[in-house]
Amino acid sequence: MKRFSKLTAMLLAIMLAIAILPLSATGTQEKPAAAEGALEKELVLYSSMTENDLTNLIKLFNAKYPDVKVEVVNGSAGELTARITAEKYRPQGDLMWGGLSNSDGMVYSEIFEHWLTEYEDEIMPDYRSNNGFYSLDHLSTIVFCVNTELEKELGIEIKGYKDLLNPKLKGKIVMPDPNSSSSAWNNVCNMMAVYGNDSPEVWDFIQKFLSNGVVISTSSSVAFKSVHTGEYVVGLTYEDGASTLLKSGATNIRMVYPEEGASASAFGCALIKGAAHPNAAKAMINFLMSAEGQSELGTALETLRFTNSKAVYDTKYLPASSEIKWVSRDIDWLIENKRQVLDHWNTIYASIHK
Amino acid sequence: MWSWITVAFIVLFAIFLLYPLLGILKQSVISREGRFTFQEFVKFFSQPYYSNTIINSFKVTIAITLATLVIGIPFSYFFTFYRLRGAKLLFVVSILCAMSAPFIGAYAWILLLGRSGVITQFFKNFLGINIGSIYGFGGITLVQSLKLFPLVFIYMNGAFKNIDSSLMEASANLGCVGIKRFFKVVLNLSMPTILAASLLVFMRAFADFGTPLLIGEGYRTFPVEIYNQYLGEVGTDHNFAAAISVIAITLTALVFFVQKWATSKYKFSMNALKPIEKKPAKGIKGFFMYAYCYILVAIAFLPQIYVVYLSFRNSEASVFKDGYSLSSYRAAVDKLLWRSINNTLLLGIGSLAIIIVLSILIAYLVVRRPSTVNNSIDTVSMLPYIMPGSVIGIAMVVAFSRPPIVLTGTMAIMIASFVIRRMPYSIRSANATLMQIPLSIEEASISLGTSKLKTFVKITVPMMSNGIISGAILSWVSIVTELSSSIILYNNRNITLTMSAYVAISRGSYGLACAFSAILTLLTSLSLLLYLYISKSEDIKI
Repeated sequence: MKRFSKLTAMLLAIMLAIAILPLSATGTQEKPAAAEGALEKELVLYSSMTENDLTNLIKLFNAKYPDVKVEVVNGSAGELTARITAEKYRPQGDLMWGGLSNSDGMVYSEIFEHWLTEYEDEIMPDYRSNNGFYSLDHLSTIVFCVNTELEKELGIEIKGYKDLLNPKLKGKIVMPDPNSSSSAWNNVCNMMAVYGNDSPEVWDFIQKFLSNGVVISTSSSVAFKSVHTGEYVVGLTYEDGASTLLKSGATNIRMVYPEEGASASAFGCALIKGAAHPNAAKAMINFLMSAEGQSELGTALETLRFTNSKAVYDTKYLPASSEIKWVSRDIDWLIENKRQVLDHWNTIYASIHK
Repeated sequence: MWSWITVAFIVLFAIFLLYPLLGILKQSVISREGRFTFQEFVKFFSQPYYSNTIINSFKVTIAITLATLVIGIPFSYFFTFYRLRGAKLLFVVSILCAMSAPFIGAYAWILLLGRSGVITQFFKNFLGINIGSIYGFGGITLVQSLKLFPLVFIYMNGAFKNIDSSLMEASANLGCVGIKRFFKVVLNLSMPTILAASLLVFMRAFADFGTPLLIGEGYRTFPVEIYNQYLGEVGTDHNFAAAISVIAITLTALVFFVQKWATSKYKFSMNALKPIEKKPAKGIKGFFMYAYCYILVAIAFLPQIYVVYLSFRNSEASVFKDGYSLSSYRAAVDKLLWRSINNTLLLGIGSLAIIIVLSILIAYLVVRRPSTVNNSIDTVSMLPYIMPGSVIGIAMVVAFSRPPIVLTGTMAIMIASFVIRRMPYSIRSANATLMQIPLSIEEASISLGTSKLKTFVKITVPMMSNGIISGAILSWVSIVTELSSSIILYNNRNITLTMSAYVAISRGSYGLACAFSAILTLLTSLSLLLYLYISKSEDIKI
């Protein structure tokens, strides 16, 4: 009996402590102790990039700044921005890398610091920040990730969009949800660029495409990884994801740049408003935007195209730019009409999946 | 002193339950420009893309509920009416299935029956049969039925045990035996329990988030849609997500009341004076009973075993390779394994402590000091029962992401959501426990000169302890496997084992996901074995 009452007392104490804890926490918001310019010891990176990208970035960053311990929170672009928004009054992350593209416009202006690096002049003119808070460090070209074994089994050859309408591929195409994944939205943008913005042709194609049993996955990485494991024949994805598999030794996949044309979005990073470790975060963004950083990262990755005109690296796992048929996209139109395009997309999706 | 506690509860509930709920309600009807509008509701019901999710959810939930009844009732019938060898094992394993983390089953079934799953490949390569894919309606039903049938089993065991053997004999005398008697007498007598079990399964399946998220693919269900819309929101407003949440609460409340009404039609209680004696399971009938029970439990448990097995396999770039090693566990250490375990234990113990204190105090207020105020505290504490986990998560964000109280990203917000989610269950069981304790013992203590407070601490609480400890372990298990509200609230600081496992699955790091899942499975299994050891009973209350 006596022991139990002690236990009760202890439980009461814990309860009290926990009840009081949040109150004190709101009062004293943690202030970065470091003086202006001095690097903090910690850095929290919110990122939708691949494992390969993240390990290499952290390794190279730590070679330069050995005292900063980097922690990563993974998630899709939509998930991470929702988290940053929820944490607005108590920021937990310092910067976000990946998933932020030049076709976003001003939507996230409340959660990111309006700050750019001094390297902005060195960036190729097309990819300089168009909103004042994204630093666009790399390009992401849409590709189809195709499982060559299954392709052969079906007796088809996938070259472009029209091949995706082949009934043999029914239920065997995967794509993330353009409502939450930036790489899926990137793919929708490319369809617009190929068939014409909001044209009858593009909606006709999307209608037929979605009718062909396209599977919408929850995360972007599923779109290439599950093609590799044989769950699907084709995944609509992006260069970096698919080529990372090639780099890790996958022999059963290939990348297809649609013959109707391919295009890229510029993706980047941004400093989170009110970050607890702003100096370390700025150091990382500077690293990502500098010619030096991009050359080092590019050389280590071999799967990513960067934006600094002075960066020198080899993209062993990507085809030369001249081998790809490019189309250009109207970024301003896409920014303006994103909601409306997605609504139309969702309506078609709903009419098929009754 | 008790009036102060009443006041404390009013304040606590106002802050952590009513404030978030009102916040959601407000966001659902006030536009970002500050106008009162039903536009978000109109958007939901006018666009089939969204409104279909309700129909989908109801379809799949009804299918799951029926399936669990069809699987679970015969299982329980054999279990209670016949003497089966290894009955204890059947019982323990089915409990383990029911209490496993919600998405591990789905994930394991993908590895087994997905398009490149082991079983699918086997059928394709050796038998030339294409067994199709597990995704969508069928997959959700399979995974959830196998996970939830033990709830029906446990409930029905209680009901069947209370059937008096004289009723069975009377029925036999009138010429009604065998299957006819099972349908005409046994099932009718246990109808209230069947309805209660159905409601429980229905609520669980309807609010389930992890399974359809992983295995639903094109089959979009309501809880997943709430989450997707929350993530899809642009800027700082959660209006549409809030509107969907309000719709969700309304729907589950409706189901709750329909079940209440249905149960009231069967108002009778049974208590067997002469319980039915177990018959030996013999002959061909016996063989089929054994086969049924063991195969069912084996299939339900298979996913967990398979995940543990895979966690020791070599893996590289999301493909499992030949050979065995601890590499997945080593990778897990790099991915915040220790912090996840630490947080899981810390959050679990912290939430549990609060839940225990809360339910003891509320039970005392309601049972020993009933009043209008105390009874309404009790009613309010039941509110979370009809709130899906993702709704609680969003309510927390809506309420605590802006001043005056900012808690997003902290341990406190996780604890608050765990306590809220679990509270209705634990208060209910504490109430029931206290009601069974005669008041005379406490009166004796007080008349011998002990103060009321001391009597409460030294007499009442210890007498409730048995019921509370067993209830606490079940709360513990459901807290450590909680996914649907943590997925909205977690970050790198307060990440739990469940979340680490989920992140690994969603990123396609399959080896890593298996390692996290295996550790989680081990943790829940150990807790449940402890529970069964302490409670020493087969009447598990969920």
